[in-house]
Amino acid sequence: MFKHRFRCILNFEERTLRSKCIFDPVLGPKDKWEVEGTYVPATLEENSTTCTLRLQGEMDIADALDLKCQLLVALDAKKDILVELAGVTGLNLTTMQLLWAAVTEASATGSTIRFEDSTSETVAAALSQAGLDSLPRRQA
Amino acid sequence: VSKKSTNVSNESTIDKYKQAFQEEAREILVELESTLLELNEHPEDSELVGRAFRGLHTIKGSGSMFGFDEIAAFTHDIENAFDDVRNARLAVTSELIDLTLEALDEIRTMLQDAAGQSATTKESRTKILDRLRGLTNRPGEVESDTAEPPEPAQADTLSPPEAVFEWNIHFIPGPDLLRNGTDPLLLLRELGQLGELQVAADTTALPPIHELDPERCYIAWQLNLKTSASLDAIRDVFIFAEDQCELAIEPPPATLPATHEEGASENVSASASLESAPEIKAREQPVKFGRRAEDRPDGASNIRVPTAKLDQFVDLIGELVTVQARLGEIANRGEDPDVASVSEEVERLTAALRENSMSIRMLPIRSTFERFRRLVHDLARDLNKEVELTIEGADTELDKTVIDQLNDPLMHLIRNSMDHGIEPRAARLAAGKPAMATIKLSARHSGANVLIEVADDGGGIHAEVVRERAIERGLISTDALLTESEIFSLILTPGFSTAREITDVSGRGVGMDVVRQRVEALRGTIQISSKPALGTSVALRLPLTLAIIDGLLVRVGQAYFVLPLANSLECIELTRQDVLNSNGKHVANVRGEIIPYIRLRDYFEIRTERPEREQIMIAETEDGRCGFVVDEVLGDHQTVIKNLGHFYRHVQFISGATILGNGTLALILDPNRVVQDAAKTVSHAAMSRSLPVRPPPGRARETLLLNSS
Repeated sequence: MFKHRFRCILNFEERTLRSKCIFDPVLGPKDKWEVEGTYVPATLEENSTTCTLRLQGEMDIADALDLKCQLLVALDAKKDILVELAGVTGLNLTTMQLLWAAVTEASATGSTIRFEDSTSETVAAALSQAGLDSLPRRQA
Repeated sequence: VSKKSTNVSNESTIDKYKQAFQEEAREILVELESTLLELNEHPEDSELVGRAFRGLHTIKGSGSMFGFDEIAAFTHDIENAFDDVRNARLAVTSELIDLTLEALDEIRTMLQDAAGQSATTKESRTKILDRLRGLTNRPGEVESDTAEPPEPAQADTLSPPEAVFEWNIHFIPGPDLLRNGTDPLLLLRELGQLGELQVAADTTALPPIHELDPERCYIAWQLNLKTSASLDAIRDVFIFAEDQCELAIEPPPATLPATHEEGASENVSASASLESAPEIKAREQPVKFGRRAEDRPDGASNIRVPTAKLDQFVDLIGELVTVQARLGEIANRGEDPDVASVSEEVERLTAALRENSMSIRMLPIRSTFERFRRLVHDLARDLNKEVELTIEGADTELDKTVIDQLNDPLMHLIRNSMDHGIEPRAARLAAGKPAMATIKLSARHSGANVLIEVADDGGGIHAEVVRERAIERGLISTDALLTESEIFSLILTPGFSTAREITDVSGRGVGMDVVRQRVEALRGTIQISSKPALGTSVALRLPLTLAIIDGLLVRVGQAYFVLPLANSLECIELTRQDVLNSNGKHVANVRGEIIPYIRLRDYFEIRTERPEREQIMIAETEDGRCGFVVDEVLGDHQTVIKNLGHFYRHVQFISGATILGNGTLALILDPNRVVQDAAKTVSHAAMSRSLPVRPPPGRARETLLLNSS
């Protein structure tokens, strides 16, 4: 199982996101990140069959780039993807768009994405407000 | 880890936002003023009412967001009044407009004093609000620092719903909506508070994930809203996103019975719909809002740049132009073709850069013009006259520096027109004129200049009265022969006024002098024309920019001068024989036309030997064509104008100085002032024959030359 911190490089000239991620192996336990003040809105855990993407806290536009990279890594792994939303206290449109696009991508490439604990009230209300309540059911 | 712990509050960032709000609020206040004055003319125009409401709403909302609670609370009451106007509970009257204009002045004062705590301000605010409440019959709302003004959307939901309409709304956010800090979900939530909302998201624009820009908004919505709220209330939800989205609100096809009043009679609902939503009847097409598609096809947005940075940028371009001139000179001296080629390329790029930088400084004169609507409105009321201000060419662009300095001269001209030009109502009617007088403010480009005109249809100026007054004041002799234009120019003399009465508005003879000084400081000219009983027109001719001019570089001995190319007509040769033929008079015969000339060698007392052949550079001046005799005309020159500094501020005939490629200094001449300065040294009779033979020594001229060489 690996934990990674991701940093993406946005190619401003082409206005497209290069799927180039820089992997920094985590150099210690989560406590250490807290001391350093590192905020990790989403973590990716990988085992032999599944990539688990765990989202937590208030997901907003500042987290969108990180989330995209993690989704790309998870999709690249060609394993089942499980998205955990239980720790999410707020979901904004950037997150929803990315998850929607990830499901579409998974469908196209034959991968599987499942949403766990998608019945959390916060998430359900946010998705309903956006008219995207079918997202958890779009499991590829 | 809490995100809050990583987001350390940054006071300077907050200050920046506050400053941005203050700047934006000032702009909105200017727009609001124009809107209110337009509304005064067209009180039934619901679009204007909506515009005024939205302006107030924006100030209130943003003010509250950035901690200007006093402003938010004060604006809230004014906004309420316009909400009443929108909902036909209050009529647009002159009293409401005047009161709102006063309120805008208060908001402006509060913006200046961001704390808004001064006792006088608070007192006058209370008075305004009391008078406003008298108009609206709304119960007084306690103004407090912490008062959270209710959102209009909520107000609408609280009002008793008479009929429920079904609206279809197409909402397509612009790509940068999220980046700009607007969350569409909040808008949808607010919309949901108005009634029963069904949301259908359109995800078809979402690209594959690897191409997806995570900060861009790709989703659009088709919304169905059942509500008793008005179109304005629905539109208000999108008030802060209107510039960044496409929004179409389809009018409801039919009225529905109120959802929470089951069993309500269908007939009652139908008749209520006809009465309570007249705007719906008028519109068969969807009401489109938002400017994304029409006005900003590329989604590009404007950025705010401090003027100081812009000035610095233009200064640097000026330095670059100077260095480029130096490079050009080096390239011309040497024989290296590579250097010459690079020099040409640099010249081309510098010229393009210069034009580009100048265009950045260019602003439409609209905001300056629009400001005078308020002045005309207030003065008309004070003077008990009916005056309409018409504006033409408001989109004409000119340098920001010029625009900034135009406010005072134009204000003086308009005040003069209102006070002295436009007759009292009774006099106008007796003269067969409409009671409503007109002041026309117009702007248009004319070559390298902008022509700004203030014209009225008032009583006009009687040239003879001006002449008599000038004689009384000893400005001209009784036998002076002056053209009508010259007589009118006397009005611009310091202390001159034909007004017998000094009023609060004008009549002290100060205004027109200020106009002249300001316009001259901008290297502009003033032309007055008037017809008794028909009106007066004052035309200001101003250069487009003050920073760089195209000039003609000339040399006299070792001194260099630049004459503005815009004034230059042609260059001709002047031989010693020509001088002898003119019998000592300083005139040249140019294809049969006698043109007086000024020898710059004599004028600046340059003591070097005169060449066999000199050149006359003929220029168009305010006093007609005049020649300037120089040793050599070196050619055109992009001239970066440098100020001469405080010490030489009274030297009128020099506009500034510029540094040449070889490092020497050249003085930029103002041909009009040189001619006028030269003319002062001879009698009027001598002036009518020719220009001076040799002016008396002038210390300023000498000193300038000593410093420049």
